Amino acid sequence: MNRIKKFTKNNPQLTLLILLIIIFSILMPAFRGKNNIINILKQSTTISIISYGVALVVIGGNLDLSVGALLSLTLGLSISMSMHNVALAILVPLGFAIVVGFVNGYIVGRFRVNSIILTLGMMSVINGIVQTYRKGNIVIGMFGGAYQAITDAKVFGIPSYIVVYISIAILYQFILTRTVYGRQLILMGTNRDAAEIAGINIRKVTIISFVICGVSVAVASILMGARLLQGSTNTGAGLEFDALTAILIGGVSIEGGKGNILNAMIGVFLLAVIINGLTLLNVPFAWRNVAKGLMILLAILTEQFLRTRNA
Amino acid sequence: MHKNIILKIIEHRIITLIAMICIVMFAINGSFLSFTNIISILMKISIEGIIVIGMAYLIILGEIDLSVGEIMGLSCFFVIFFQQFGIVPGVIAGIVCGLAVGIVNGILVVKAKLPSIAVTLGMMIFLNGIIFVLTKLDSISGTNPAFSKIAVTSIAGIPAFIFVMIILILIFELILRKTSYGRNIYAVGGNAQASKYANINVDRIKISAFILTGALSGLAGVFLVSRFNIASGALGATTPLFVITAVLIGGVSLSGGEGNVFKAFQGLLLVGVVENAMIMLKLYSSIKLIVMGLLLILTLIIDSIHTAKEIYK
Repeated sequence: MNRIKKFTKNNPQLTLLILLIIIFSILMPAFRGKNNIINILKQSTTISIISYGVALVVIGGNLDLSVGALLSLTLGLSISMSMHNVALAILVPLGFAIVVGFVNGYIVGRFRVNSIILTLGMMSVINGIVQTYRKGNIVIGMFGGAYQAITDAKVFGIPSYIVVYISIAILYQFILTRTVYGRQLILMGTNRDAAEIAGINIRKVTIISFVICGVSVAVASILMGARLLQGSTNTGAGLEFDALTAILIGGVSIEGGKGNILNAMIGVFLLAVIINGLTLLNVPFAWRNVAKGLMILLAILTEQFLRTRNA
Repeated sequence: MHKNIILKIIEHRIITLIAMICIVMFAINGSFLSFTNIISILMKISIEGIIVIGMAYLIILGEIDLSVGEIMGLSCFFVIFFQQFGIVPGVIAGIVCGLAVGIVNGILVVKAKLPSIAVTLGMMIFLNGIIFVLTKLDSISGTNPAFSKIAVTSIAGIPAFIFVMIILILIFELILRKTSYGRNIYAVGGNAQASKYANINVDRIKISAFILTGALSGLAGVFLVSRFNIASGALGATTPLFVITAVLIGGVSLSGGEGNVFKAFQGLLLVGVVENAMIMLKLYSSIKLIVMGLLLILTLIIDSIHTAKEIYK
């Protein structure tokens, strides 16, 4: 009994997730169906990969709000490049994402600007670029080509995209907890001035975190493009807030320095299970943002409450 | 002598920039400086102009509010709902709704000691959801024709909204400059800890600024409904970007304790003039997004270099 108490105290988010899964499974037979579980995993591919990237940035004490707009950009690029060559469909979005990540990271690292406001501006710039060059049109990919094969591939019977996002989670978790870079990132998120005095190259660490975030978005958009073969100019709108909601309710602190990729993963599944449960309970679509906003507010409130209690 | 002129120009760089754009645009198209166009620029910025006042107060205090656009959107719904009972209930409903959200924002930031950027981000998404629920994912419009008359009321050819905006800017600039409340705002923004020791009620000042911003955003919703007779969840999406850009461009520093309402309004005027010039040059509205974003990024960089200089001086 004591061990359960200790577990719930140390992992409040995971406990909540398990509780919700149990409650929903008892209440709704449709929830525990195999198809629904696969559906939840499938639908959370994009948001998972993006959340892991954003989580790294947030742990470093910054925030990237341009990921949604970046996804719209790289998704369109990937699909239109897939008409020529699959390699281009992978490399071009990655290239653009690295550039955007670098610019974000450089400005934040070099000029110490507020990353939230900066990436809000970047979001506007990228949205403008996407709308200008696509003029509001939808890009449609070719059916049955080599591009689509990216998602049809299976590893040991598991769809490739699920394999990709789980391996990305493991990779990022490794980077964060087992490498020098990861420690520097956590220290920078906890106390930027102390990190600077300790001789950490703030500029480099910041840039790398934003570039990893950009690359995550590009990977997510390639998988999404190959699966849906279709992208509009605002496919990514709102994704930045979904990713933020997920990592905050998973237990990554918005103040930086606290949390890891496992937290982000739990957050994504919490969000997915709650939204899925709301859908199965026939709650109208309009209530979704109400739930998300409340979850963000509750997450930061509980985190603050726990911190003051422990302190 | 020359050095003095250059210093003056740097000090008033926003006004200089506005003047330069006006001169260039006037050379391209003579109607840019016509009375109608100037009025249309001012009319265009009058809605955001009211929110800018509150946002300037908050940023001087070292806080921020990302939920202003959605407060405005929510206010639009209540204005449309209550205008069937008359103009006054409609106006009051809009302002009260903004006031209420401002109180919640303020209490969450001050009493729960949460970062305002996170609180208002959550509030923004939450309110957006509430608007979607209330409007059932649609856009709704009001049925009281008298309400739309407010927007077309004008005094000496100048629409009443512009007067309201200018009067509000003057009042709040005076409060900032001449009252002890205003001086306390600068003190808290400069150093909240020191202000606390100097017996300033930091919490109350911060909450009051959030309430002010909320109420002004509510009033902006009243203006919006009167002009366009619409409420929907999509109205306020770009408002925080627009307002924050304007305030920062005007020279109000994100690090707090600096700037004033006049400066913020200059920034807004610049954004409005640039926007109008782009429309006149027949540039796509999507280019507007790029220019607005780049303006914000550039201002951030300039602001940061300026702050660094102040620190190492």
